[in-house]
Amino acid sequence: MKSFEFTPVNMPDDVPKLRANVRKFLAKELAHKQAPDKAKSWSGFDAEFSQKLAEQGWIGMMWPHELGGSEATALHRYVVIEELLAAGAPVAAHWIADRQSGAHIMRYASDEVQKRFLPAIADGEMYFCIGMSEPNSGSDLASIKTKADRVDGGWVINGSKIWTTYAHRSHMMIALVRTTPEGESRHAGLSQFIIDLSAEGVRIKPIIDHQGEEHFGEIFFDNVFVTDEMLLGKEGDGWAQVNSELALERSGPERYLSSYRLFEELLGSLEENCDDITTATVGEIAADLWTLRQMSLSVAGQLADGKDPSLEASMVKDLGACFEQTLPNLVQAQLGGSIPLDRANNLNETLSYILKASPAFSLRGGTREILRTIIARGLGLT
Amino acid sequence: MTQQQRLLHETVDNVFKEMAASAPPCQSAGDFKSQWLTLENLGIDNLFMPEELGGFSGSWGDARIIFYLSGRYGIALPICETIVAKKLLLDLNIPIPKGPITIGMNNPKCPILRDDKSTEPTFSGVLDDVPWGSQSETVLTVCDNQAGSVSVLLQCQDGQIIGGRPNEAGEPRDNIKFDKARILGIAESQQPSQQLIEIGAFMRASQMSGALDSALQLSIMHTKNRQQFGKPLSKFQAIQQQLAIFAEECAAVNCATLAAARSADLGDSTFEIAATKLRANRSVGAATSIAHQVHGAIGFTKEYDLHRFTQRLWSWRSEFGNDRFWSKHLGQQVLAAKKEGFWQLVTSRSDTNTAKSTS
Repeated sequence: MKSFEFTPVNMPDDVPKLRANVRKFLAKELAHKQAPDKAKSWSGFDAEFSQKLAEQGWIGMMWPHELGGSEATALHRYVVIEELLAAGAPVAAHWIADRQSGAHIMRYASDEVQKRFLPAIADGEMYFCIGMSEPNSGSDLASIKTKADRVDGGWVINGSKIWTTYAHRSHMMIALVRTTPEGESRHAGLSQFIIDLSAEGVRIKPIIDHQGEEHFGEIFFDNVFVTDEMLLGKEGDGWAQVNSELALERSGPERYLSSYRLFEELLGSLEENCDDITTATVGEIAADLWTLRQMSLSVAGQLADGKDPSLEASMVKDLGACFEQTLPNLVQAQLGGSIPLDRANNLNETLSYILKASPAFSLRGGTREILRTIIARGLGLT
Repeated sequence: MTQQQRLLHETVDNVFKEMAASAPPCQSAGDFKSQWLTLENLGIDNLFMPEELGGFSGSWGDARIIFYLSGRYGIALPICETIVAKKLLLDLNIPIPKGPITIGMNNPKCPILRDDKSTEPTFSGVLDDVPWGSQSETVLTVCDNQAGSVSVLLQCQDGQIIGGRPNEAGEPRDNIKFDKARILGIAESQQPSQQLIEIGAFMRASQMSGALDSALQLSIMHTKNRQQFGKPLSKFQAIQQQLAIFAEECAAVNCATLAAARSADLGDSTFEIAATKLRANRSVGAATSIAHQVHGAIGFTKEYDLHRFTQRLWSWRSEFGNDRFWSKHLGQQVLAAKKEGFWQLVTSRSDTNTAKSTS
C-alpha cells in the first residue's frame, strides 16, 4: 500500500514576528470591513487592498528580488496567506496571479516574459484568471475545443472559456488550448498561452451566481492574436503543465479555510460557559480544523523541501471542502440555545452567505469526484 | 522520521509481523506469557528508559511508532500500556517493576487510606475497565489530591476481579477491587490526574491509526483480487470513491497523531491530544463501514482478518475518552481561549519549535 506522507513541519524561527506584522497590518486595513465582507474570504475583490498588501512585499514573496519578490520560503508565504484567510481579507484580485500564474510563468516563460509580468503582479497591479473550463468541458478538461492556429509571428486563438473567476476584472489569462487536433492521445496537442484580455477579439460576459454576485464569467475569443513569446512552456506540453498548475491550485490553506469566518463569528457570539451541545460542536469543529491545518502545513513543508505531495494535496482539498461545507450545517443545526437567533447579526449574515457559497467549495479547482479518482489511482486501484 | 526512527519502525515491524502471523485465534495464558517474554527480551517495553537502565531514552515520537505498529498488527498484549506506565513511573521516580504494567484510570477519586501515621498507606477502591488487568502484574493509577495528583502502583493480584467484560475485540477489560491493598510505589505530582487519560488517548489514537491503515490495506487487496461482473471490484468507480474517502480518514488520523507526538515532545499537548483523539474517534464510523462494505460477506467471518482491526477500532473509540468526552473538553479549551482567539491558539502552538522546560 502506498503510504501517504504527513510529516509535521518545524516553522522557521522568525515566523512569529512575520505573523505579528501581518496581523498588525490586517487589524488596520480590515478595521472597517463588515462580517459579510470578511465571509467572502478569497472571493472578495479589492484592488486597493491588493496594492497595500504589495507595498508590504506580501505578493510574489518567493520570487527573486529583481522580479519584485523577496525570496521568501514557501513556509513564510504560507504564514502570510493563512493569516489573510483567517482574517477574511479581500484577496481575490491578486490571488490567482500570486498563487499560480506567477509561479507558472516563473517556471515556463522566458526571461523577457517574466520581466514583463512578475514585477507587475508583485506590485498588486496585474491580475490573472485561469482559462481551463469551457462550455462543454468541465471535469473532462482534455476535451477542450478552444484552439490556437499558427500564423506569421504568433498564433490566432478561437473559442471560449467559462466559469472563469473574475474574468471581467482580470488583465491576463493563462489558457489551455488545442494547438493540434485531438489524435489518439487526448492529452497530446495541448498548449498554454498568456492572453491579454484587452486584446482585439476578446469579449467577456460576467455570469451572475444564485446569490446575485458577479465573480465569474464567460470569455469569447474571436481571432485573437498572440505573439510567439506568449506560448508558455513548450507547444504540446500543455497537459503536463496544466497538471503542475493544478497542483499549486490545490495545495493551499484556502482549501480548508473558505468558511473559516463562520467559526470566528460563532465563537464571537458565544459566552465561555455555553450549553453542552454547543460546546461539543465547537470542539468538533476545532478538532477538524486543527487536523486539516496540520495536513495542509505538512503539504506546504513538503513543497518547501522540493517534494511532490500532489496526492496528499488532493486529500487535503477533498477533506477540506467537506469540512468547509459541514461547518455551515453544524452552525445552522445549533442555532438557538447559546447561539443568538437574531437574523441580522454578524453570525447569521455570515451563515447566510456561506450556506449559499458552499456548493462551489467542492466544485472549483477540481471536483470532489475527480480528486477521489486521483486518490484512488494513488492507492493503486485504477 | 529520523534515521533512528526508521530503524525502530523496521525492527518493531518485523517482531510484530511475526507475532501476528503466529497468533492463535484464541489466546491462552501460556501464549500470552511467551509472547510477552519475546517483547520483554527485546526491551520494547523499556522504550522511555534511559540507556543505562536498558532502555532507548525514547521520545513520544518514538512511542507513536510502536503504538501505531501494535494497532497495525492487532497485537494482543498490554505493550503500549506498559510503555506508558514505565514512562510515568520513571518521571515520578517510582521504582519500576518487571512484567506487564497496566494503567487504571476510571475511578480517580479512589481514596488512599492511611490507618494512622505509623503505618504504611494502603489503597482501597475499584478500578473499572482496566486494560489487561487480569493478565498484568501491576497497575498504575492516579488519584486527584490537593497538590494535583497522587500516583499509586499496585499489584494486580492484591485486588479481586469483580467484573468487567472484554472489549469488542476480546481484549480483557477488568474491574479490580482493592481493599486496603499494599502500595508498591507512590508519588505526588502537580500534574492533574487528567494527564493519565491524555496519555492514554494519545496511545489509543496512535493504535487506531495503525488499525485504520491495516483495514484500508485489506480493503485495497480484497477489491483488487475479487472479480465481479467480469472485472476486479477496484475498477468500479463506486468502490474507488469509497476507498478514497477511507484513505483520507487514515491520512487525517495519521497526521494528527504525528503532530500530537511532536507537541508532546515539546512538553505541552493538552490541546493536540484532545483534537487527535476526537478526530480518530470520528474516523471510525466511516472507515469501518467502508471496510466492511467493500469486503462483502467475507469480511464478516471469523476466518478473515478484518475484524481484528474493525473490532479494535469500535472499542478504542470509547477508550480513554469517547467523542462526547473530548468534544466537550476541546470545546471548553477553545471557549476559554476566547480572548486571544482560536486562531492565535492554534498558530502559536505550532509556531513553537523549542521544548518547554519541564521541572
